[in-house]
Amino acid sequence: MAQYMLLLHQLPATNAQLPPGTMTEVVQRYYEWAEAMRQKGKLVGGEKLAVGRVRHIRMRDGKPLSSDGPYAEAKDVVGGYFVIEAKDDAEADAIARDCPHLWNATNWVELRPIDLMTAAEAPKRAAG
Amino acid sequence: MAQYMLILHQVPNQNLDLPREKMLEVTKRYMVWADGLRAKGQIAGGERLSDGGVRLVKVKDGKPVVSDGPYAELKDVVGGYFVIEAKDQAEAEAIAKDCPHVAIAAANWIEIRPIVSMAEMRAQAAAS
Repeated sequence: MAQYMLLLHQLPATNAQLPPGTMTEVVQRYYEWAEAMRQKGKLVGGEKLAVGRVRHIRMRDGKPLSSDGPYAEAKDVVGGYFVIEAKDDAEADAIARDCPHLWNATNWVELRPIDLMTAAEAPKRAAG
Repeated sequence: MAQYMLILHQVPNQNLDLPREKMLEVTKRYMVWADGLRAKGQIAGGERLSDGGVRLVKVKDGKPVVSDGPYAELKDVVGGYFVIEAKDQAEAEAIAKDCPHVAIAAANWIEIRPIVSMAEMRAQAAAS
């Protein structure tokens, strides 16, 4: 088994204009999908990221500097993520296609194989 | 304590040109930093994402369509992430500023995102 990250891309204000009833229904679809994946042992983690309070850290003149973004001006933002387990790229593809994040035409999913740092470290830790 | 995601941005394939020894040294800096946070109970997760094997899933005519990118043509990609625990935004920022990701390459930057706990949202939905 290998791990893959699904980065859930969307427009910055995609959920802001939704009526509360639709919002609840959309959230419910994510929950149900995540729960079904968990029961199959395919879900490692996942969270929704807040729409506000985004901070960017960059080096300026040799020092790390933080700023507010831009976030709302961005054409594309990450709204959340899932980390899944799949036996190969084909299975990961199939899982990503089935992800409820694709509920509207502007949302999209970036599927990324994970280089397991923790797995690479495990033998060293066991030996130490 | 609240959770924050640090999204590690960089230019695509920036590590491919590094000599192997330099690459190992850079990787070690991330690991030492993560171990320091782990010892303080302030790290919930984090992984490096592979440069290759990127797949994008978008909706076309109501159906999910998978493609290979473009990835190398992008100006900015996500190279990895950490999920940290901090008591507030100020502490999360201090931790991000100390992350080796911003120091090792001028084009690198970190996006700090407060996490909306799915478990908490779920409990609230059940209570209402």
